[in-house]
Amino acid sequence: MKAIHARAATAAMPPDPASLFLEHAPSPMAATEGPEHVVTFANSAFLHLVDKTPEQLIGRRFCEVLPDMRACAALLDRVYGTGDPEKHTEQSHSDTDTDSWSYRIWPVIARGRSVGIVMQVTEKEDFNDLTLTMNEALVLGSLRQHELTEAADASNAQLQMEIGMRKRTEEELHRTQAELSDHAGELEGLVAERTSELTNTNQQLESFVYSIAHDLRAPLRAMQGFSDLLVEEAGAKLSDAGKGYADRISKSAQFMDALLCDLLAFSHISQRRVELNSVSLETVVASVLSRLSAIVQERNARVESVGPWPSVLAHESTLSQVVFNLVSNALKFARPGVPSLVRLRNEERAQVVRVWVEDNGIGIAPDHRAQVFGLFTRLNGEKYPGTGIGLAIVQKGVERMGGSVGVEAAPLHGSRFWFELNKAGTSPDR
Amino acid sequence: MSDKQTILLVDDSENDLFLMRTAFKKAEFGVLLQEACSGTQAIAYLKGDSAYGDRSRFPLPVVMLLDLNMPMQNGFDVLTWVRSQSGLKRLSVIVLSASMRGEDIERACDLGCNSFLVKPSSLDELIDMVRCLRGWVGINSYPSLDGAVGPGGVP
Repeated sequence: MKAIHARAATAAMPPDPASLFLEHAPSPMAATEGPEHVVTFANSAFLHLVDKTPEQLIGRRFCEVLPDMRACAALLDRVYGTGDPEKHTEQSHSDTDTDSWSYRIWPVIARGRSVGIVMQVTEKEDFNDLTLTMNEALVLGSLRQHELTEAADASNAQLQMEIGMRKRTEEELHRTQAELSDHAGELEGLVAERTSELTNTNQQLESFVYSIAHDLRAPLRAMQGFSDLLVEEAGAKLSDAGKGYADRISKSAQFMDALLCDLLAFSHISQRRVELNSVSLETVVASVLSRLSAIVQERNARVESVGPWPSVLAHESTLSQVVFNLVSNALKFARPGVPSLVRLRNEERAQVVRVWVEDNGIGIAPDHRAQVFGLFTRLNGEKYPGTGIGLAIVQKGVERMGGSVGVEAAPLHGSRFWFELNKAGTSPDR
Repeated sequence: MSDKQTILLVDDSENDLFLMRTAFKKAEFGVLLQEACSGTQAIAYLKGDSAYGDRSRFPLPVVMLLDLNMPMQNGFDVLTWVRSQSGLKRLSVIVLSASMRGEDIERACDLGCNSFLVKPSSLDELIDMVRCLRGWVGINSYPSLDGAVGPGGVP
């Protein structure tokens, strides 16, 4: 409510219910009229508050009769002048009373301008209660705010801690990752180093084996050559025993020469670079059989090649050596009095070609089949002289070409050796 | 100067020289067989250095049989030197080595040897080899060496 329209306000008790309502209202209320603020109405509560009779107030100027409330004069002037209601609180109303008072003052407007003032005084208890409540609310509010701030601070701290932890975890992770990658790098370096060391060692070993075999052959040539000369030139002067000794020297030198040659071949096949190409088994088998034809004839043996022969992924001279060693092995281990029959055939399997070299010789006891490809393995004594390197060369050679070897029992007599190589046109990595 | 052809045999092994000499005799290869027991001596012979200055006694060979593995100047060094000499670069050089290593064979061929033979282990095989050599020397056509180097050089 912005303004109350003035009615005929007189000192006499207003007869209408609105006037009754005002008269008996519990809060002190008064009204003035005109710019001099002549009091036109004061209810009982107001009279009681200022401790005056209606006669002392009505018809007189507000500031004259209530000098203690002089502070209000300027306020009354302002509300009357501006037409805007105001509130005012003042510390003390009388000398005895130190409590606070609150005034609500609003203008009475008629035809657009102020004609009077209405004021209501709020009692101190109410004010105090209000203040207390407000203070309490403020305290509570600030407590709550404090709590909230604390909670926020705590949760901030928690968050900071969590962020810190996460950061530390992340840093840890990064460090671990870095360490891991360092480690991996170190390992790689180590592997490269070891590989190069191994390659070096292998090369040294190869050249060591080579020079040993090479250098040992020189005195062997002399032993053999001079024992041959001895028999040839001084044979007439030698006893049979003496000729026999010279013969033993020569044979031993020959055997040692074979041993060194095989060792050189094994070392060579283990070390040399093997590049795989499509190689025709037909050509390789034919060339091996032609190289062996003299021995075949000499031993009254028979070698069968059962074609057709496919092409395989191989290194030609290595494959040639493998086939040569297997066939000469088959020819060598013949049963006494039984001419050798060697058969070469092949089976095409999914990705590979299996080559069989079968003989009718003395065979290999099942217990010994596993060792037969080992270096220097010899299963038979003097009757079948050999270096024990031939089949080791076979295995090493086939392995170098990405294949495998094996041996199986023949149904009646003899051995069935096989090796498998990838078919030509397939991938070499197996 | 002998009307026989000369073959220069270069090998540091006394045994091998002896066996080779024997094999030449047994193979009835009637040539003047000259020997040098080191690479350095072979170069001195070919240059006609002081000791070999007399070309009637030490004629330039039609073929040099050259061992590879020798101390100091080895066979490769001798071969390299020979091929760099204007008066010798056409000389027939047959390497006669105990080595059957691929890289040795390839290197010797790259350096310009005319043939590579591996020393056989038995005397019989050696004699067979010398017989083959005799046949080869007999049928081979020889280029002019186009002037030798050194003080005793024959133009």
